[in-house]
Amino acid sequence: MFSKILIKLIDEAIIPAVVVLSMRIISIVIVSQAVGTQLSLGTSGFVFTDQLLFKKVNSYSVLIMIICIALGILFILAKAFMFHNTHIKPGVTARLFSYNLHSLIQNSYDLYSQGAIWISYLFMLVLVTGGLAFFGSVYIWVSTFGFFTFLVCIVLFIIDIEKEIKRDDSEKPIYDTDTSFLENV
Amino acid sequence: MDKIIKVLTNIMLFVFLLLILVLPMFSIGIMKLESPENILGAHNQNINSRLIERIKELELENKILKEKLQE
Repeated sequence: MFSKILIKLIDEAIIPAVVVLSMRIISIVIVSQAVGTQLSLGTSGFVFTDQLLFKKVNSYSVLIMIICIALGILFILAKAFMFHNTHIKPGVTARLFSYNLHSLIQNSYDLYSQGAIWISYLFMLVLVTGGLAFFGSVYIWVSTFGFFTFLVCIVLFIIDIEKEIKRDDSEKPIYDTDTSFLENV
Repeated sequence: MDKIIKVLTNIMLFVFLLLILVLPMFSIGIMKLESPENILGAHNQNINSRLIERIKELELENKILKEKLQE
């Protein structure tokens, strides 16, 4: 009835959504305190009266959000590169089992669905940050940093997918084309 | 019929997934920049409306007292 992949993607999307929302609020509070402003909470959210202060707090808050999502993606990429069940080394497998960390070994279905969701969040955050930078609500270097982080994550993700494809190629059966042994029959 | 329901369900799931992906981005708009004049203006407006309400109440009380006095 339900598409399995859609259910899986919705399941994987909940954690990063909570991370994005909570990091936005936490980062605004932390950066405001670091800058030394009194936060005023109105009906429409956190209200700022100083434009420079607003830009500063907004920029560092978005930067913290980008870093958090990038850390999530890096964790998934680390699992994909080191603990992917298709190309994990036997020694590493044995060590993980001995430390009871075998849950780190995941298949392509889990890893790629997680990766796709987290990268989608980073992509949308980069888009929104670009828009904010265009209208002058965020420093341009923050949106540039987000864009390059996104590019790096995408490239690393593609490298892992390439590894997966190459593995499939190498596992194809190789048939012997020598038929000379049939001549004697 | 089953096929149509299946397709519709999957479309709904896809829309739900898109909503989950897009909704957290609205948290960016949690910060608002307002000029001090606007905030002061809103504050003054609030006080004014409360004063007007109080004056109306007092007028009503005055009216009732006058009626009692006449009686």
